[in-house]
Amino acid sequence: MTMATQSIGRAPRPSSLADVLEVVLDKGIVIDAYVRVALVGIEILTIDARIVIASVDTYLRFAEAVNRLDLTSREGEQVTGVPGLVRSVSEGGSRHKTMGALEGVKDTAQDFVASLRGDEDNDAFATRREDRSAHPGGEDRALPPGRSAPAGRTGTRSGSGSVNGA
Amino acid sequence: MTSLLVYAVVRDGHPLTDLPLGLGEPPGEIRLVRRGSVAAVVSPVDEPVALADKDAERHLDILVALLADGPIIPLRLGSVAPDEEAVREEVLGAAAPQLRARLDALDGLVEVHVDADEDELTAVRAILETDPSLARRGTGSGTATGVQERISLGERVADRVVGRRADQADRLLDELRPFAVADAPRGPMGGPEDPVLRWAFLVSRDGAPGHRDLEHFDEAVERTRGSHPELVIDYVGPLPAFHFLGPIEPADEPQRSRWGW
Repeated sequence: MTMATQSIGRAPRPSSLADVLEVVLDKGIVIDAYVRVALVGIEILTIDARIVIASVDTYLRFAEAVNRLDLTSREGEQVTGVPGLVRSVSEGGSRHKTMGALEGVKDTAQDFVASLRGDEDNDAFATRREDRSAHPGGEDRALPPGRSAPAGRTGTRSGSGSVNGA
Repeated sequence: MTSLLVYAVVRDGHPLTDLPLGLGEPPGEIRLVRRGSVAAVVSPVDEPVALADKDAERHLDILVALLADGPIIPLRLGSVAPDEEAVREEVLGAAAPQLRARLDALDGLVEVHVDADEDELTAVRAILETDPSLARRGTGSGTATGVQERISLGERVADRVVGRRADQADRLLDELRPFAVADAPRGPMGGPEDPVLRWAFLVSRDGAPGHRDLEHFDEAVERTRGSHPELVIDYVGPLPAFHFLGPIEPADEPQRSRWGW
């Protein structure tokens, strides 16, 4: 029983490369006395897409969530409908929570948007993304005080933004 | 020209069993460079050394494999020495007695990571249930109401989400700390864009007095998953004690680890 718990409940190592990097990069000792020993930089080929999200985007996203939940209850949808959706999205997205490979997040976000919209109008997502990436001031906007914005949750964020902008 | 990649410091008797090949192309065989009662784990690598993110996975595999046979002090990924003499002098060098003491202190201890997060809609729904006035403010704002009002609403909800995550993190730590020797934060937490918890715990690999060991920590995590169905809890380990390389603090006083020399 304990064996089963261990094999199911605890992963021997992080599941994604992004999570491995989070565990390994900038960890481990560097000894002050290095003269001949050097530190070689790591070329990050897979993940360079840390997207900074402005606080206003955060707030609009939460406001949108309120609306969405409100609409859900007024339309009399099955109570289990949205929690079921939420569960699947959170499981699909959890692999990318820490930093997130952009491709994986994109897929998750597209699935998320598609599921919200009943699979109509997927193009809005792509349009929205192009708008965002083309926005020159996008990365300069301030974060909420004292907060950093790990990129991994862009899936949910972009999905909401797309719905929001529609 | 061949250099040496240095992965970790171990005790001189470390068996080096079941190790993958080293990093670099072509990958070299891993061996020990000893000095006194400690040894550096190295592998030959051709210059110029070029490491990419994929190498981080193998680096971690090597460290985890080493950890299975004894305590390790990991070196920063990408530590390269020109030859064995440089490893003996600069990595082991005068610090050898201290390194051995740290290794002995880490003997039998491993690090595990607990990451908790909650789906945003789940959090917002719970907040609306406790404060229906927020939901009324939201009604109809999707079309006619101004952006400023939506931002204001979102800000209020975001504040509640932050408070909720802080409470959740406190509860998780209360539930898990009794089964860890020490613990430390691992990254941004609790903000509107952050996960609920991102934490490292130090536990004994085998049975330990006071149940601060891996088996009991596993059970504690399972209980926590059961009592917090709203959270997605990732649990990874055993890993090298990256966050506990300095003096080991009591579990109630988490500190960022650092080296004093």
